[in-house]
Amino acid sequence: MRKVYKILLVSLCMLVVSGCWDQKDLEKLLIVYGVGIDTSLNESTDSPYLITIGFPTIIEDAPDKKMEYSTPAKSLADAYDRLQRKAYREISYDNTRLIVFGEEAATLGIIRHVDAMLRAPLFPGTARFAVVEGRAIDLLSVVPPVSLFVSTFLFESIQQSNMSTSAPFTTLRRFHNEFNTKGIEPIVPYITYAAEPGIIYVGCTALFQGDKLIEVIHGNHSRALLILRGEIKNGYYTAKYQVENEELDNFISVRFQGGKSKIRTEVIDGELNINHKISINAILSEFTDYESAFDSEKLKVFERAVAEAIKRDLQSTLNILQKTLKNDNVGYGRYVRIKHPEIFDPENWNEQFSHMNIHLEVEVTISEVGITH
Amino acid sequence: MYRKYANGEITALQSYIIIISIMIGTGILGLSRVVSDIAQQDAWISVLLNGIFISIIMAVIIHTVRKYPEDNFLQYISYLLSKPIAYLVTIAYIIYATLATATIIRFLLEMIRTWLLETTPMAILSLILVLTAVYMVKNGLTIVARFNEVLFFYLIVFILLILVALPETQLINLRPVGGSGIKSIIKGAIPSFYAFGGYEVILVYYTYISDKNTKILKYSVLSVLSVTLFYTITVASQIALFGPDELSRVLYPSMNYLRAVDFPVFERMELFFTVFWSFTVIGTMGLQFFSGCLLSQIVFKTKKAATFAYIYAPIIFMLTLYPKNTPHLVELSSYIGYMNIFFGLILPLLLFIMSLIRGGKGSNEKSV
Repeated sequence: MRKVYKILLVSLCMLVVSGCWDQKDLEKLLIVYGVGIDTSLNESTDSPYLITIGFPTIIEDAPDKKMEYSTPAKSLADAYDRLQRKAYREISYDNTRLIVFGEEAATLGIIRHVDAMLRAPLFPGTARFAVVEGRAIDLLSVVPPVSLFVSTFLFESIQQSNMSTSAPFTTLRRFHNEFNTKGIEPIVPYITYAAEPGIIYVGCTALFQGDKLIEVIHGNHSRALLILRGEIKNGYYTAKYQVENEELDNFISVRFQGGKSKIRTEVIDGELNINHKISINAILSEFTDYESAFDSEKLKVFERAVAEAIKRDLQSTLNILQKTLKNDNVGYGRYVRIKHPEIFDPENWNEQFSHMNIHLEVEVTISEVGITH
Repeated sequence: MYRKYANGEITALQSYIIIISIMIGTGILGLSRVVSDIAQQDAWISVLLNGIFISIIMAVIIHTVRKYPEDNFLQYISYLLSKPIAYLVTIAYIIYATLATATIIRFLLEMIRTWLLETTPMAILSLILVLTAVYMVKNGLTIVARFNEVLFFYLIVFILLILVALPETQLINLRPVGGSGIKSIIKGAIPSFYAFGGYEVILVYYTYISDKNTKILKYSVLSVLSVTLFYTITVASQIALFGPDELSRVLYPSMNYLRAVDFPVFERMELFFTVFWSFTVIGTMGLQFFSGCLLSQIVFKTKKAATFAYIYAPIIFMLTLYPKNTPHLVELSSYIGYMNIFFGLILPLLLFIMSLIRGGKGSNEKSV
């Protein structure tokens, strides 16, 4: 009888193994790492977009280690179908790491492409979004100097830029969240090319209104926007330091060590006021004058100098958002919505944002001076 | 082994596990969305209030049924509400349990098809699950209870999964606390009733507890409160991640919650959840299915409840294939939610009032 049970048990286990009959080896799949979305260069209205996928070839004898396929398409799902006809293996989008939008496609609006990504259960919610100067197809065919795949390179460098408080970190899920949340407009990292060939620069921010790209901010403005949003991580900040009777300018550099952003709203005489206090923790990483910096009074002077320089950047960035663009990419609306729901108008928030008074207060605390006197 | 009841018996500890296990099922998938559609950022308060309310109902149920420790569902309802009504209620419960089992299986099928086996025909998956249900219940309540006892440890993994996306959450999404208004918070509790559903099986299973003691009331209420705490934290963390605006567009917040971060080692955290969740749902399925079989045996006075498992299996199989698509399934499941309001709320209160009027004498008929 025991033998019968054993045979039955083995048969049962075999049944489970039968689940593997249609299993797919990774080698049989065409695993997409990056997707590029551009407007089509043809005048045809039938296929207004050009979708590009970048993937590793895997096969050892293949002439290239990676390849790109492109197709004109009506939409992303339409492109899935057309690209499959070109591919020699089953295309899998389940490992997509990067979605790059060409500037023109981003200006037209990107939410129409997001739906196909959100609807697929295995499409990664953490796939990173970026907008590129020019066209996405050009970016996906670049061979970066230190990585085989541009998608892998950008996947890492977007995170690194965000860690150095230079560019935002936007995933599929985060974009969808900010697009749907009232009182904040989305931002996406913006990729540019350096003068040297093959060098890609991730340090700018693409500003969106709804799902449409409206402006790009660079350098200190990009960093200032992240600081305003409370995304203060690492990164160096250099401010001018005036020393009497010196021919050359002197500078103080600090390295951010995180920080806080506190937003308070109040209505005074019917006007909306925002008190935005930003506290930044920092380490002194450079003081170009030969004087000693090992003095608490001097450190206070440094802290004030850096705080004032940062405040100027923040104010300048706010002016762009409030006066030029009338677009709340910081997310003040979320706070107004909480504190003053009777005033908050979700449909006209950006207009309300452009008229409100924002009072900035920046505090920098230098907690370490390094290991030199 | 000596067994007091032909269909098996359970310990008091197993009854607490049954309560927890049957409550955590398919409802958790879309709970935060359906509640936040009404109560916005205060959905977690609605869930908390509903849980507290249900724990009071649980106290009422235990307080009522322990007056009739030797009577089964049909017998004590016969005593309290008259025999014809008792038969009517019992048959209605059988229909409810069968429909609920089919709904649970279909929800499980939806998840398996979406995340794991997208090309396997629905009928094949359904057949496997229905056969599993039959196999589970054919040896009686003790086996079903033990299965759930083993699965109980899986719930620990569930609790840990809440931590996964916590670094991505933003507390601002939960503010202003109470801002949606008391009316919305209370209204929001109603759709969460389905997620809490299932605890009413204790009306059926109480009589089969072998070591009934005075602590049953306390621990049963604590079981409901544990589920409430788990649901409240789950909903609060999902609102903190998505915010009420985005949440209304997310079909399965519990799954999407796990897709929000890159997790080391387990790249596909949502698949990890699906596997554990599937087992928990199979436990719920067994408990709900057996309650229908058990009551059928009582009504039709047959020797074994398992006989009805074979009779209902093809019906459940066909019912699982009835919904045309996911929206249709969600629509149909809302009717199960209404039936649950009757069996989990109206009936216990009615029985409680009648037990106060008629006292705790019971019918003293021989247990089936």
